Amino acid sequence: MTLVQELLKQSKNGKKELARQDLIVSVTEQVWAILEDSNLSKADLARALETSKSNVTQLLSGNRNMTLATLADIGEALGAKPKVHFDRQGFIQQGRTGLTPQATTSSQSRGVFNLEAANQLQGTQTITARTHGFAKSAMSVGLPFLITTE
Amino acid sequence: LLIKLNIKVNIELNSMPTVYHEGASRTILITADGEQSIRALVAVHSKEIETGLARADALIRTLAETGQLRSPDQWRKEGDGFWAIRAKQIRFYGWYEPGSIFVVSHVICKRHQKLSEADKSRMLKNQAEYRNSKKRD
Repeated sequence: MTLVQELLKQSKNGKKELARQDLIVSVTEQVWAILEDSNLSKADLARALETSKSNVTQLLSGNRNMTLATLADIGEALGAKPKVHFDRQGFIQQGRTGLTPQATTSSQSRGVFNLEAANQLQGTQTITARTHGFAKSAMSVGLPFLITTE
Repeated sequence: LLIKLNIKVNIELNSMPTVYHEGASRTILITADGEQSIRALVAVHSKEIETGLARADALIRTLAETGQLRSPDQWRKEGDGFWAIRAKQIRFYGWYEPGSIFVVSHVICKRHQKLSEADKSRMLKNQAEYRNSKKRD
């Protein structure tokens, strides 16, 4: 556990915030990886989504809440289907939430987001809630989560 | 003389960087100044600061696990071999060392985009202390 995790887990909203930011960073880094691997810019993505470049900047910096609908649109624009899993097993084993090595290493240089580790997870479940509610929902039922694309 | 020696040893031990996170690709170390700055920021009890710290922490663990950060808006070269992880108003400043090591110098909450002279001096001081401690090893 890092110092920030150790300290924030003691505060009222710290646990929730750690879970939220883990998910946000996991998702946005994967989107950035696809953009980079496909040689696409934020402007290209903005055009495909029919939105402004500044909106894409806000979404990819995590400063604007991304809904599941927006995530699906991004997946559609990039030709990569997002998948969401709740990882109960990982929660028990790691004693922590969110970002896992499996979730972040899957995107490396292949351009295909097929998370092999996800197949090994037990108790996974597809969810349909809005993205900004993921972390809260997951925490309330004691589940960490992964969002992957393929 | 013994007391002086003891104080000196304690000061040197206290200034030795500690492991912040051991990832699959990189080890993140943090200086004593870095640890103190995080504790000071958490003590402010601001939601905005907590959000920034949590996001910067997730980013730095991603750096440790994957060896790189993709988001150019949150990972910036500050010149002279220094880097900044930027999450909201939070900045984690640091530099690379041989052996897949990234050392966090210190952490601040700021509104300005560019690295200030004060932060650069603070980072140079922490870097010199780190490298001197490595020479002594």
